[in-house]
Amino acid sequence: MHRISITIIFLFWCTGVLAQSEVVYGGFFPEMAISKNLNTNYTATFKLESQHGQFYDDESTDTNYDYFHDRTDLQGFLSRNLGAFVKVAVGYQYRLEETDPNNHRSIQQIAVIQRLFGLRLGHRLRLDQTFFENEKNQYRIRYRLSSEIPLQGTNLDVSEYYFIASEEIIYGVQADEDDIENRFTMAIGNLVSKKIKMELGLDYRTDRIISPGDRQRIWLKFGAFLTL
Amino acid sequence: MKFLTLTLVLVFPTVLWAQQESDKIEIEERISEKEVPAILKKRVTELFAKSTKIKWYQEKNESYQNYEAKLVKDKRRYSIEFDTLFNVKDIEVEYDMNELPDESRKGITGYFESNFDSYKIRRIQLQLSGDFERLINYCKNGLIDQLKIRYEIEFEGKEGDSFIYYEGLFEKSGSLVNKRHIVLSTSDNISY
Repeated sequence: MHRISITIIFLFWCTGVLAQSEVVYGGFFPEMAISKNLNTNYTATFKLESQHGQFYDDESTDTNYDYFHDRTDLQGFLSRNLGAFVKVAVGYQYRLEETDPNNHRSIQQIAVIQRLFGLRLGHRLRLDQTFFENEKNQYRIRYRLSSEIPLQGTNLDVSEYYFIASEEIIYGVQADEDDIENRFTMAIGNLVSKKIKMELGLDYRTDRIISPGDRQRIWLKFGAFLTL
Repeated sequence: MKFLTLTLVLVFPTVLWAQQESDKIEIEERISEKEVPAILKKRVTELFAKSTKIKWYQEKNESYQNYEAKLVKDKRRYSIEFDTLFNVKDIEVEYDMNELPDESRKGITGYFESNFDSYKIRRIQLQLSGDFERLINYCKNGLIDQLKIRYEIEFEGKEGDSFIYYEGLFEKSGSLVNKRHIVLSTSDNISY
């Protein structure tokens, strides 16, 4: 009941806050990750993220409800386990954008999982460097805290539903400008099998917090996570 | 629109294909007190004070369903597992390594040191079984005499270049009864 209340409050809060921003848009955001264990220590992961706009609003025009493709990210990671609950990874991303030239990104991260009673916390510290065709390189540091809570028992069992929420802070520098971005997500997921998770939820992003032209994006997100 | 179509075409067949792998389904599900047979509630109130807050769970798979009560007393977690005849199968109580008797601690440490390059203990539960009156005596007065004591330990063990996550059952002497590899569910959703 508490979780439902939190969701309702979050939705009302988003509605209020979104109306105050200079640029607001959102839509449908499918993502999928497929991982393959190469041996007991190394894992290769391919991830696809794709954002499809269903509405766009800025101060100069009325809200536009025409469909548009915002971006699609193709990511590849190679990770190494440093323990049962700690892994480091390096990755590469190729981004296809509708309005700007495509770009490349290199990624380094460490992810730590904490198993608590009735809860799993995920900490992720990530560095990334984005290389644009017509702009200066962008360098970012980001930290994300996720919590995954089984909805039926104390451990997440196969076919059980779970609630997941995450909060991420991103600090970026590009040329002589810096900026902060905030990302908050909440979703309901299902552990379909030991190797498959599926999630449906909301992804709310606020950026250009320091630099001018604040922007907010809200996405209905569908996620599938598979281990082969 | 073509990107949306492409995404859906890529995502859904893969999920459906991967879903065909069959898993042995075992679920631990929270249940309300109303769903718990009266005899089980009576047994728990004989073990612990009536005011103790108890959470009830049912463990199910294709062939059986067991009841389990979980509670916290004096900042320590207790788990009471019942068999299919509604008798107490065992009581598990969380302990720290430094609370174990010397004999157990030395035996368990010796096992880890001789079998793994390095190890990390994540959770220790004292597993108590025996006569119901003796279990009451333990829960009410902390007396552990004449109960069968074993330890259920979750640990990471380094074998060669890899860390494996295990659940091991140890005798009071610290000798290993059995161990099983714990396969953790995918964490890609919180790692990537």
